Amino acid sequence: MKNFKIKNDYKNFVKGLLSLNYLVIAPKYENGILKFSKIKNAAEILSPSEYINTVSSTKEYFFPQTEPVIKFTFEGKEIFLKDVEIGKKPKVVLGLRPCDAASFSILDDIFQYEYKDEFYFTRREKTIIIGAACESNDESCFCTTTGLAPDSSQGADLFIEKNNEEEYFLRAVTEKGERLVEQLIAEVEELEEEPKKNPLYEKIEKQIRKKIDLIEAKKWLDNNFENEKWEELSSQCLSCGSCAYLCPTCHCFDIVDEVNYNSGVRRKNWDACQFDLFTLHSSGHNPRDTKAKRYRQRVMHKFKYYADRFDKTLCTGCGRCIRACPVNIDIYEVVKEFAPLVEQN
Amino acid sequence: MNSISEIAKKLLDENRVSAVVGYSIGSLPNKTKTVIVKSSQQAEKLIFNNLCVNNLAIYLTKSFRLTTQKPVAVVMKGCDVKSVTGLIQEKQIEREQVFIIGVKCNGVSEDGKNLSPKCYSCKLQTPKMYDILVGEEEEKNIEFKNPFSDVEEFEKKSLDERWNFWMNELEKCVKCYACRQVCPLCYCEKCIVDKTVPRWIEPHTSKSSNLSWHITRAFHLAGRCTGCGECERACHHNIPLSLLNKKMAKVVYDNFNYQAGLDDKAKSPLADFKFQDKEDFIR
Repeated sequence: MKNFKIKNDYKNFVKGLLSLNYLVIAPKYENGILKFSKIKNAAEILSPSEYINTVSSTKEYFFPQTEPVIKFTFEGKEIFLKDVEIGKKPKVVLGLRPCDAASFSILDDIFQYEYKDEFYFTRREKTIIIGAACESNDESCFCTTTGLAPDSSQGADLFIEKNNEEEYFLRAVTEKGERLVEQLIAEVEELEEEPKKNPLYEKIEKQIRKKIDLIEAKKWLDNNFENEKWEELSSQCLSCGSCAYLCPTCHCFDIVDEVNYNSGVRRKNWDACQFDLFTLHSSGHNPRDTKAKRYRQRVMHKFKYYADRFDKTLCTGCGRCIRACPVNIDIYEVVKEFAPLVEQN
Repeated sequence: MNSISEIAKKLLDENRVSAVVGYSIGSLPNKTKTVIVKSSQQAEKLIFNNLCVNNLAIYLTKSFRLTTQKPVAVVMKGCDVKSVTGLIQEKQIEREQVFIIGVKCNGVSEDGKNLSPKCYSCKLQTPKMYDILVGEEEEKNIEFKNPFSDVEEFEKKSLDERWNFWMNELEKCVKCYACRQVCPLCYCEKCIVDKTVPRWIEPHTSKSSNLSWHITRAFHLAGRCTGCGECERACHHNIPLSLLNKKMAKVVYDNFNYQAGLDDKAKSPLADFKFQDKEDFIR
């Protein structure tokens, strides 16, 4: 795959993208918080050096918090169904960190497991992912544990990095990405040689929380469905669900019919396994009736069940759940309770 | 030796409490971790410092089942004790079910740098109610702010400005209900948003359904919210919920000269009525 130099500055490159009539989504401060939002002009763009990561992930652009899946009307005893249109405008999601870009290969697996979710995949196909290597980290980041690094391009179509002369360049990761760059010849120029690595990325990798051995973690989980640790690890949880709502890989949803007198809509709404209603049956029975059982589900799903099924971890180490938890339940510390660190040279 | 951990150890050794709820060193430099200590060996991890911003009164509510057999001990600042007063007033717990380890507080911080907004209008460095008191009161170098000053400022704006402000803020809500979950006074076993027959508030996010939720939440806390700020702290989208709560508190104060959480014998205005009430619907 090819590499391209950004000729002028980063803002000009974004200007080029906007002129191609893409809907550009990138980190932007709105009402005091940094989140992925629509960019109206290039002046609003933050360069990859200006932020660590956003409060919420990009999943809402592929799997929205609420999404109509079908509409219906009644006439007498007859029901008429109407399909829902999915936005057709091509999008570019720009400036995702490796921990967010990597979430797509994880979500793609589940959204086509047994059934292909056309809502998710229509958006995926219409969207080009431009990742950006991390130029800083904070105490919550632990991507190396999940096999990533500050400069992992996994999941991206294009990836922005700095070479050792502090100049930004684009790495084409997929053909889809390469085709986009070809439309931006005024802004980019193909590089003939592989750019020299900027030492910054290695430095950041070393600052990140030390790598935990997730193979050992899984072995422990395989044998400890019943363990008093679950109670101990979750007793202070307030079941607020912030962890799941901010997680780039949590994907559980609830299906609800919202019905008026003669019409209605069936919606997919985000849901979270830490809520007691999540598994409550209409009979009143709740198979996960304690916080210990619900927290066990969260950890098992991330580090065991998903690994059993897809050979992947349902976590990218973005640290959002750690930053947001009001009582400081820290999933990295939790996993470290039952798995060793990886020896590093 | 930390005196909170000594007290906790003694309470647990003497079998007087089922657990001690308190704070320990967190995993991040600007956070403390909430811990529920059940054995005296673990008591030594209990600490108190300016990062202990959480209101631990939430752990006294029924869903935590900590007070069923024996009382539970909780480490509390002056502001947190107000929530206990509320829970006693509303018959959620008996005074005897909680052992309050009161701490003299000199202000707390959510980020390790700035004082929490709630501390600027706090007059309760020493809790009003406690079973044992620890800590030293330092002279406060904080300029006291009228608790309603930001509401008064906001009220000066036009109706349109206020409406647009709230619609803009509430649009960010993703309905995770973290605001409800962390609130010690939001203890309903079944919340109105979770009721399906009938469905009072639509579960999806939209301007109108987000507004329904937030108005309902704020109304339900009118005259009950003690201003601990946990809802706002838990909101990862930074919706200024305290402003909404304070507006409710101000309406209650202006009309009934009542402030929540100060007197466990008082009746909250919205839970009481008088035969002399000027509104006849209530008689």
